[in-house]
Amino acid sequence: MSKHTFLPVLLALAGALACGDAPLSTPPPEDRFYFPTGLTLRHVPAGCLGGAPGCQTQLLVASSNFDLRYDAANGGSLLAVDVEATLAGAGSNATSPLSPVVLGGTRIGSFAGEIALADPTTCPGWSGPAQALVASRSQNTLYKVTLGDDGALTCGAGCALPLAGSLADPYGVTVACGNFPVAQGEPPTPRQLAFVTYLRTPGGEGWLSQLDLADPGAPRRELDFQISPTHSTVFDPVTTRLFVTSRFAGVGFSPLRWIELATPDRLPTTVNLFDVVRGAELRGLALSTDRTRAYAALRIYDVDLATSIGGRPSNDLAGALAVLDLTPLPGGPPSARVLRVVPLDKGATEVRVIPRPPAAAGAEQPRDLVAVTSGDDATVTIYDDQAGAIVKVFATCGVGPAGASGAPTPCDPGNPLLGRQPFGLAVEPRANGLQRLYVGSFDRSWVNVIDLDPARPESAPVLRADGAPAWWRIGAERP
Amino acid sequence: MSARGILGLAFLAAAAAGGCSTGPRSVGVRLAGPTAVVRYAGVTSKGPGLREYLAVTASRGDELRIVDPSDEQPVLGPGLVFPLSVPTAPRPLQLASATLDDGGADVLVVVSAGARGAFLGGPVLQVVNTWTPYTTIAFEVPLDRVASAAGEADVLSLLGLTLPGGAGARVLVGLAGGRLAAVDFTRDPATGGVVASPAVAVQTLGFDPVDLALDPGGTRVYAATPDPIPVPGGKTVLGVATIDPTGAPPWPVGALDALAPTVSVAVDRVRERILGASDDLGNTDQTAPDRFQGGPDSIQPVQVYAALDNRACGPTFAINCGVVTLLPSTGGLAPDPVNELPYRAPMQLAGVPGPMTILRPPASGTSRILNDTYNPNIPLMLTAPGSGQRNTSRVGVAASSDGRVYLLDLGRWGPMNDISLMRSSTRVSVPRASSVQPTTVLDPASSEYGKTVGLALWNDFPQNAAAAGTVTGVLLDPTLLPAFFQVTPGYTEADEWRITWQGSLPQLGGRDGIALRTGAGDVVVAMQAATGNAGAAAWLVGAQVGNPELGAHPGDLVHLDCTDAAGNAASDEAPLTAILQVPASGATLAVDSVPLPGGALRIPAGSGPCLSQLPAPSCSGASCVAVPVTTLVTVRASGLLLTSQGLGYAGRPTFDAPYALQWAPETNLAGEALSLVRKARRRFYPTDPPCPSVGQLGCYAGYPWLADPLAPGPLVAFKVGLVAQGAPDIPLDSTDPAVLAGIPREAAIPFSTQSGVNPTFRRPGSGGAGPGRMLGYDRSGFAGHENDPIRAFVPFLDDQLISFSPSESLGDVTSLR
Repeated sequence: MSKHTFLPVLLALAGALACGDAPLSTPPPEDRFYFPTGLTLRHVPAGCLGGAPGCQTQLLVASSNFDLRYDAANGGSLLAVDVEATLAGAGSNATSPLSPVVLGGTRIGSFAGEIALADPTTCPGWSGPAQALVASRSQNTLYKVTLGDDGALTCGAGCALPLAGSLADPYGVTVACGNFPVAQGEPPTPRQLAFVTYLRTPGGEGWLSQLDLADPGAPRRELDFQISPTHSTVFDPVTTRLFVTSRFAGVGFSPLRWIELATPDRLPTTVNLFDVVRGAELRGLALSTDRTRAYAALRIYDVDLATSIGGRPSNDLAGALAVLDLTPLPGGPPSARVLRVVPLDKGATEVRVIPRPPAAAGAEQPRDLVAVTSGDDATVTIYDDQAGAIVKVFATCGVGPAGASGAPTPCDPGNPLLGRQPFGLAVEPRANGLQRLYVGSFDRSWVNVIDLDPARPESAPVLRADGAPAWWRIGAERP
Repeated sequence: MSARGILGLAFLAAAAAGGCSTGPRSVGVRLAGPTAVVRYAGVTSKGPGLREYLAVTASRGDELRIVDPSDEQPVLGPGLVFPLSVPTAPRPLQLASATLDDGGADVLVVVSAGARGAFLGGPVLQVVNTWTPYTTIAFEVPLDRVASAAGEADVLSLLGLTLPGGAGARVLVGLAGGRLAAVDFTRDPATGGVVASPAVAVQTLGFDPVDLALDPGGTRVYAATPDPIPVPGGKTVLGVATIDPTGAPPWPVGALDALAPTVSVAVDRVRERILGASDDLGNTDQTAPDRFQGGPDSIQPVQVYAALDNRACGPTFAINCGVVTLLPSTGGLAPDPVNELPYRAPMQLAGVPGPMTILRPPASGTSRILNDTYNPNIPLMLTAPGSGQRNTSRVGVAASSDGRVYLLDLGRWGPMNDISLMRSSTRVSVPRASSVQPTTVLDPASSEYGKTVGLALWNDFPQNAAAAGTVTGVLLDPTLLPAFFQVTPGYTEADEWRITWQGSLPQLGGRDGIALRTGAGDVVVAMQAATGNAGAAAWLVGAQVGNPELGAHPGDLVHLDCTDAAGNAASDEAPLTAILQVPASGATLAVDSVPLPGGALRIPAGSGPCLSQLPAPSCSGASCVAVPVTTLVTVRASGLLLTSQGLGYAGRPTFDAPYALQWAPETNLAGEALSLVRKARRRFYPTDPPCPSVGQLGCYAGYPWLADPLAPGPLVAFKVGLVAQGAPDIPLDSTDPAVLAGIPREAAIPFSTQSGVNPTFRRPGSGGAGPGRMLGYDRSGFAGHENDPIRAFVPFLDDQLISFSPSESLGDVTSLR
């Protein structure tokens, strides 16, 4: 290359370098949510009922920094919001969405997943300060954030726990506390465990990490669930069963699996839901209040297309809620027989049970209501397991001849009532007998707060004393 | 014109033609999440006058689409480039229509999930304007006023019917809280539209009507319900309720006993096949499966078909799952045509059953078959299962959660079959069987080392299995063994089986358990693990060892795995002396203060490494407190054991005697015997003819014992013998203790069975999720479709409505998107 040609190249290179941006390390905001994923609730003092005098409801929201607008590595956040204080500012002149009254916040890794709470209400025997556990997919780390009673969040030494290096995308977190043997044949001892799922694994294997919350120095244990990566876990403290949902690994296999912490070292029990719902892929799971049923959110893909392309199609055909029977068989484990398949919108993800009020003496206790978020179609469906029917769908604004839906503004006609991509979900029994539903809009970055009467869920939201619908949004809308 | 000019014109013409010929022929139906379809007569912008259309709920689109059934094209909207949208309250899920029988437009109503869009209200009936071309929601009938005392107002089901005497139409609304509401509609002479009665009649039923079907007479409604139906005498019935809702409430309510709760229902008069009889010459009626009851349709019995609720049917319940046949004339299940079961066997479905409908032969045209060879002048329709075309009287269409709709040949009591039941390689049979010895016979360290006695099958069973003149003996040859299993069409399912010597019981092998030394001096073993919880939740039951369904017998071998005093793996084995069952009263079973919620097994104390380690209980007088020790427990049969992957425990064959897993009357049975016969219930009714002559056996190749495929028989049967591995044809004496001692534990005959059935189904050519509430439709009244076969329209959640005829093949399914 001659000197005359080398010089322009050098200049161009220098120019290109001069135009390059320095890597961003903007911290995440501390006054708003940003692509929220996991939601959970905490009450102070522990065990009190939301709305009761002296009871503070703290809403914990994990923001995922999904577009990496903030620091790529640690641009996620966990915020604690005083719900009552936030809603108290919702007068007639208040702008919606409401600005959250933030009690505390901390940075976490980007791409946060579900949140689990460890305190005396969720973990019998828990004696220290409460902790919020949330995994970051970008950092492959579990954060154990300490919660002060005032809502202050602290992520100090030992807060960030690196997870299994050979596995990726930790997502679901569940706390399981009780008396379990450490190994087969040993007597049960008090234990406080957390289980973390991984969405991406070598060979499409299913893995769980088991962490000992009571003994941070104890080695992490990896549990092999064979084919199909894990998605979410739910713990039944009475039977000590840990139910594990799974993601797609191949056509023909959609396993719901469980292990029993009372009998460690045993292989998981597996039920293949594909046999009943062709093309099913599991997401969230919830247990009925009487623990005799499980509710599994299913995404249904095109099996023929999956077979031809050799993988999971990017689009779903539909969603569904599978109602499974967990009553034990003579041979021991529950049959997990599918009792009903309830059609849902696309993108079914999170499932929560909304308990019914106790029945009158002598009357049969009605079965639960079940709320499910369907992100792709931007809806939340409420299914009544007593009636076996869908009783409410939060769909779009301003559609239908009867007009308003009770949603706060902004709610332009045709837009989703809850905001696009409803994702995180939490349910709070209230002291007044109502149930409060919290639904995060991943895309709009706000959280809907909706009061409903469990006896008339179809009429949600209920009306407040001033006649206004009990439906608020917390968190500034994402621009 | 010059050549250039001609060329230019040709180019322009070609371009214009090309421009006109591209693109789809229509705008498409553009359904978003269809859940239900109904027919109605109305007026639309598509053309003048009253004619029939299909209304389809698009649940995710919050709208209805209107489809012309004659060309399967949508009615277009005003812009003509989109299908007509009839906006509804969010999530329309259910539809109903009814004629007022006055020559005017039908009433068409739609119900959305929950509220009508207003947060104040409960559900409403949205009444569609069917009487003018401006198809939209005309008005609403609020239903929140019918909320139960508990506030429930969920709409579970919807049905339209015509009131007698020209009184208009009535829409029945099944409501949660066990109620039925009725809204009446009459004609408004001024507008030609319909008006709703100001009052909504409501009756408390005491059960939730989750699906409704109208009988052919149009006056009686059948309601599927998962709840017990109250009947006089303070009793309840599980099944289908009958309601006569055409008068003023209270409407008379009755019940059809299905032995199980139900989730969906369909009804029609159904002409069924005959059973046939032999003639004086001893010839059987070979045409019986293809001959149907004569007489007009109006004299055929009304039959109610109901899908049972998966919660309470199956081998552990009073009836198997599937679609049952109920007779209003008797108030219960239709009888078994072969007089074996106390009821007609349910038609089994894969997955969780959904809505159903019944297809009739078309009203006219060549597809209404009146010239069937065996059924002259009887209206029939063609069906096209994979096993070959066949005429029948009615076809049931049943949706399943597996994304398919299954076709049921109601005229022949069962599912259609895509493969041959009795012929070819697909037939019901045992395709594979062999005799195997465990590898322990080759292990010098094993107690089974060197044992040479193996399991074999006798060749004198089943009847006629061996060729005439064959010397009675036993067989080991895997190429011959399959012929010496008896299977029965209609009973035998696809499964993997194993006959094992001292095999472990299917659900009692290698389970976590406890063992405790009792104050009585023996040992009690249970399959349970401590949970660390208090009270009733203190133990997690691994297996209810006391439950007779699991098959433990006194004399069986209880095997314990443990760690010996030196820390090495060790085991013990002791005979089972007694089975401790949980009291029927529900009281807690406990031995020496140790709760045993799943029952327990009692074995003698022993001196082996596991049993000898068990700590002695602490006793004060007669009261002792035992100390449970964790262990692994396996229960092995003391002799032969039959198991299958599908059924689990399947009984205890004995040597040198036929063993049949066969149904028997359940009434006087209990425990293990009841459990086994329930597993051997009939699955379906074969439609192949009997052998030509009375008493003739073996007319079907491979079934030398069989005279009639429809006859009852065992699910599986065989006769086990013993041979020495080196002398395979010489039977050994099974009563000789030395011979028995020579059988290695886990010596087995594994074998497979196949059912000969592959149920006929239809589904979209691509996709297909969540089939919904479907409709049978006869297009023979439309010009150009005079000879069309009957069709079914089935909505699928993945944005398509399929149209198919049972007279056509799976490849002829049309998807309307």
